[in-house]
Amino acid sequence: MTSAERSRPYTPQREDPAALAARTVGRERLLASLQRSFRSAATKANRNHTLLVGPRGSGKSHVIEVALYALRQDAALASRFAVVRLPEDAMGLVGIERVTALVCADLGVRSPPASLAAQQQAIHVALDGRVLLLVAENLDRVMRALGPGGQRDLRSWVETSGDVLLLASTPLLFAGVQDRDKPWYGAFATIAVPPLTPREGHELLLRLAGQHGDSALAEHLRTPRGRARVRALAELTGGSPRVWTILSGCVTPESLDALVPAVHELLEELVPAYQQLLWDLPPGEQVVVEALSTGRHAALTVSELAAATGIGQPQVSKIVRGLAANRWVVADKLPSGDQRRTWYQLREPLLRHHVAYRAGELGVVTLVASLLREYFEVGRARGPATARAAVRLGTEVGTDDAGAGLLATVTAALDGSAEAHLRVPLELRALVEEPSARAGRGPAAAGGEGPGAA
Amino acid sequence: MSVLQPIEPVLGGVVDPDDLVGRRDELRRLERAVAHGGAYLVGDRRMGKTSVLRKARRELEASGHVVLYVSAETDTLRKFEDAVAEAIRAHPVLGPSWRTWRRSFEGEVTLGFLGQSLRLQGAASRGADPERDVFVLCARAAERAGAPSFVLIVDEVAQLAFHLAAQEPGAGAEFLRTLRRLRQAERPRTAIVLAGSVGLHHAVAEKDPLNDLPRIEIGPLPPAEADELAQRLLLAVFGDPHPEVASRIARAVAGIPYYIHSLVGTLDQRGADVASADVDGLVDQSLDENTWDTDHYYDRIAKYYPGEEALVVAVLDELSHREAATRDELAATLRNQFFEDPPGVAAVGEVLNRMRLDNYLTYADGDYRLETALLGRIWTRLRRRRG
Repeated sequence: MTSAERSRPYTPQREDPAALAARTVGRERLLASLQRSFRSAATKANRNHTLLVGPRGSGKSHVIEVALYALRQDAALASRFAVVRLPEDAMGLVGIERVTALVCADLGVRSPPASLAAQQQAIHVALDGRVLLLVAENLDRVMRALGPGGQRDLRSWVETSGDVLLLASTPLLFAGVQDRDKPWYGAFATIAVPPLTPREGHELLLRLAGQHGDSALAEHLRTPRGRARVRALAELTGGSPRVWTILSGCVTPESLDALVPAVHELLEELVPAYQQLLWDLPPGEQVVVEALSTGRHAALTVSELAAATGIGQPQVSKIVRGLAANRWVVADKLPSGDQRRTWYQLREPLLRHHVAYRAGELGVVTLVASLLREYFEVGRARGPATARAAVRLGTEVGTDDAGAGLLATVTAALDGSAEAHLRVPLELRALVEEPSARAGRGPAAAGGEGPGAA
Repeated sequence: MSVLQPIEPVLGGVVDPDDLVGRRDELRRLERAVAHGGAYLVGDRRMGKTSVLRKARRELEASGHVVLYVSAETDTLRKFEDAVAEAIRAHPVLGPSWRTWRRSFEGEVTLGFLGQSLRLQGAASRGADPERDVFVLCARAAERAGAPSFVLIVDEVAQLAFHLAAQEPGAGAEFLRTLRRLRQAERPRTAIVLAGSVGLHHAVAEKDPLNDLPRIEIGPLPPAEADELAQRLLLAVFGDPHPEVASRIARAVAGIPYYIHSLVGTLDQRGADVASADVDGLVDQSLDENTWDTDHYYDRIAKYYPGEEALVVAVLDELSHREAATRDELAATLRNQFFEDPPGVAAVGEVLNRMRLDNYLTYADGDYRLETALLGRIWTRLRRRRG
């Protein structure tokens, strides 16, 4: 792979936008909607501000780059805009004056005036009839940096001048745009960036292989076995374009076919990202995440977490609520049963396996990959019989205690235990749920919906 | 019959005045009010006040008026004064006049709310005694330009009053009093139009500091206009106005433009089969998931009505299942619910009045009603969900 062909899963803005556009899958509707907003802003005074919402790795930056690229391809339309990007992660945005100063600098306003209102007027003059397309990634951070007063001033400028169209993204919706008391309440068309379906993930891998010049991988992906392996992997990746992109850089036809090596490679590649994500967590939350990664079950109750971590139940309860709000964990209850009991599980399966992988415990992830490989094997009818066959194979191969516990849980779920069903890892839910019940839901694993906030 | 023109959904952002559907009655009333000194536009958040103001501005300017448009959505008087000064400097008629006014001063000239009015501040040139009242200066400039009048439009006026009051007791009221003096002074051919969503009673102790201005309520669109809006949005997104679906959308959200835009936008995102879209299901889902922060109508009660929460909840319960009631009827009903300490008629009336200012209720012909049919739906689902 040459450096020019290299994909950059963390910084799509540093890639050739034409290459990004060429491998974009599953975003047609979203991009069409953005283009309509651009056109409407260029030809009328409409300013339909857009907020893309999706967890890290869901492809928000990619969509923004492709949308801006498509805008640039239409010279007449592009001439109606001046595009200015706010610093990612809101670095240095200490107030609204900093935002307007940045815009002034980008537009070439010499000696910007001192007052905010005068700066905004200088921007209006520099725009000379164009629309300022202000790109704000991590809008949640930008708004936090601006504070309540800055948020009000920003809105006042945007509303009064009519000069600005905002294109923003955020990993999670936040109070600043959701609460009726806040200045930016309801001011955005919020568009969820959905996880890729397994079919779209396969298509993305194919296009990446093409861009990387990896004809052997492309050829393998087109075979029924190649498709079957990608289908199995989709349960682990959960539809995250970033994970698929990372995988494309480390997988070979052989490792994909065997699947377990591909999953190990993927975990290795994800180490820096997951490490950073975990480091950014407060210590109490780190401990709970670790317990959810290495516990006897993938899903645990508050009392089980308290016992595993040594933290008091009220504190654990508070921690898991915070983790749920930030989409680190999913919460499940028995459909009929004590509604006070909740089972928590890490939303992103690969994050759970990352912790075990770092600890050198590969038994469970190896077993999971093997089960998925068997279940989604070519020519197998999906359903309980295939799931039981996959579990039998797992038992015959032999595994450690954790693996044996996992197989017992899956078996109990197949036998109809509702509690065992809740304890089955998200990436193995396909084995214990009727295919018809999963129709339209895509992979149970939710990598594309994983931790949103650092 | 005119051909339906498509309109792109705009969710909460700025709407092109050409794309504003309906509001002819409100605009006519506003135009008449401007001829008599101005008006106060009120309505709940996202009801479309700013869109009406923008349209009004365009129409007033088309009629030759000199219009100065500023937003008071800020938290310091200094920033607001700067915004007014900048709007004057950038105005095609007032800008040249500003440069003329400046010549009577030495050094920097700023603008500030002082005493009775909004005034130019700075050291006068030797021997000069310049007029400092900005309202007077603007009105003169407008007259010289042959304009019928000078109109100052201040959007989100309650926001600044609210934040000033939070910083210093009485400051919000003083700001509003100055605005009142501006419009009450003998200044022919001038008008002031204010707009706000936050109830001013939360910012100032005065009963109604803007009661000398005619209130123009910006509420839901009438059914025919709501239908038209939905049809034009569907036309833009799906290439077909789907009149039957449009009507269901308009009805489901009681004609509130923001939610009509939102529903069409959601259908667009979902790539749904529009003709068979479960519009009511979508609205109920949005309410149950609090997509539009409609829980706010419940959650803010404790903050707005400390000690009176039960009474407010009882009023909303009552009006969510009967169309209308007089104050006395409500008081009688509530007496049966509050056995130990029943509220008196006057106390009920006082709460009802505040609930009207907080966009819960409307009052007409002696009857109180929920402000919108959507609020009834919100309240019913909210109570079912949260008890």
